[in-house]
Amino acid sequence: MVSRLGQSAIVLDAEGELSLSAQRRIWALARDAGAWPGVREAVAGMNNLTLIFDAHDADAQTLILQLQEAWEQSSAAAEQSRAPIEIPVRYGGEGGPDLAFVAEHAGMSEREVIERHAAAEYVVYFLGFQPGFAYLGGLDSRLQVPRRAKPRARIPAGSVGIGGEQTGVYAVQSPGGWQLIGHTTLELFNPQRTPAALLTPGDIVRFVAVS
Amino acid sequence: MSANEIVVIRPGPRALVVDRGRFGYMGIGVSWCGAADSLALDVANRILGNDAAAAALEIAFGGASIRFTQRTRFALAGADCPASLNGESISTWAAYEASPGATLELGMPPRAVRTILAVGGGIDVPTVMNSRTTDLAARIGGLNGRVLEAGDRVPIAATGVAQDARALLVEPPRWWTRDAQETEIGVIPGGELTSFSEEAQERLWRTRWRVSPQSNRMASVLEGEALDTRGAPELRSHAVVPGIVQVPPSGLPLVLLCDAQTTGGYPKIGVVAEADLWKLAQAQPGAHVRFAAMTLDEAASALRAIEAYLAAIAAGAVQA
Repeated sequence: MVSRLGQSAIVLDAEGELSLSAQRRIWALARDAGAWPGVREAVAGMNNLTLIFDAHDADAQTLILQLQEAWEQSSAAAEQSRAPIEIPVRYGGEGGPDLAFVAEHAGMSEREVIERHAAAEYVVYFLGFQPGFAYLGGLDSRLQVPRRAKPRARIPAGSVGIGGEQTGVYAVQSPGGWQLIGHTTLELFNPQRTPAALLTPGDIVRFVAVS
Repeated sequence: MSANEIVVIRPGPRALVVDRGRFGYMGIGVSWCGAADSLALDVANRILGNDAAAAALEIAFGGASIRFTQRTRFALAGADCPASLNGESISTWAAYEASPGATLELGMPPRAVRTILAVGGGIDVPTVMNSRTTDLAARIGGLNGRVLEAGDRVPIAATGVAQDARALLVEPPRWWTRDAQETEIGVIPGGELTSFSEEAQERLWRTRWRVSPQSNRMASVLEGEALDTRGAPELRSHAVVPGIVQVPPSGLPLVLLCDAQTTGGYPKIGVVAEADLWKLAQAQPGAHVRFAAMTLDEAASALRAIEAYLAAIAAGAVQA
């Protein structure tokens, strides 16, 4: 269902259970709609898509109908996805000060936390929160840990963390409350690079333990 | 020959390079940023005959001292700080010409927060992802992606002195001439508003909200009697834009501003009319605001009035 939000935005919400197949349709639609006349931004969320338009160049009612129709005609057909992206992670140590806490919380050894975290295949659902930051689906449920009661004021870019049922990589230095289990030297955001973000919605991500 | 630049002697509490914003990258998590009061930026650029995309300095809470190194035309708009050029008092919403070595001093603004200092031709820092504006989260744009510091030399365009002088002093947008105890902010109802209890909805419109000192370029944070959020649904993460009014679990609404992150999950009760958003960016901590429901037609009409005002400045018709 598509609804209007303020003067310059419309939102498509894929109703029903959260699903990867709906998210595949969102990715395809975000790419297409981003090129429609008058559309300034097409931003995927979790099973939703927001279009921000310039009211001088696009008519909201027309866009709503166009988006509704495009959604109904879209399919989750598996598209040519990129090769999985490997993120080398140095687990524990200075870059992963909360590894011991996560292990204790999960009732397993640090080594097993690392093995489980690196064994999974993660899907990039969408980017947001900070430049280049990817919302990843696929965390082993046994690795879920609460966020820190007191967020850290400064987390370095490249820090790999777990917060609730999410895992991810801080793409730029920022404050944050996730439990940090490791660090990667890969740049998730580099404005001099095109595209500036390493990850794209739909990418498959694997973490690889390095020493 | 000296370089084309201005020198920051004192930046005040917070000053940074801004333009209209960095658009087209929300999908990779990059916020628009830009001037918190984009109307003041538009006015300053138009007074000088600059391109609308030209970058300027946004100086919060005054307290700044800037030295010019060559003959430079400049304009001030936005928060009406006491201002002087080489000790001589000057006005906001006006353009002046500084001689080489001249110093501009800005005091604390008695009301409002942000003053735009624009120069003829614009601030000439490199563009990053199609914009010169500072993004403090991404650490890009502006001067090395950060706020200005004492001693910074900020490059300006070589065309420092415009041939066409345009209006010297313009009428400010009407809000600035008011003497009101509170600012009315138009809000287009939407989002999850109707999931809130009737009492919470009624309180939203009735409350005289106070702007919290926690407010910044990311959000205008409001204080008052909290809204009951029990009816509000849990939402999946979705895109958010400046102007959205969110109600976090505290029950105290906040209005997203230019530096807001690109995605969020709090319930929304509507979006501030685009013609009114800058007023929140200018509301000082402790100032009072009241939300007033507005239709899309009314909001569009308010925006057209601003566009007409800006067009009249460009045509030299709004001289004070």
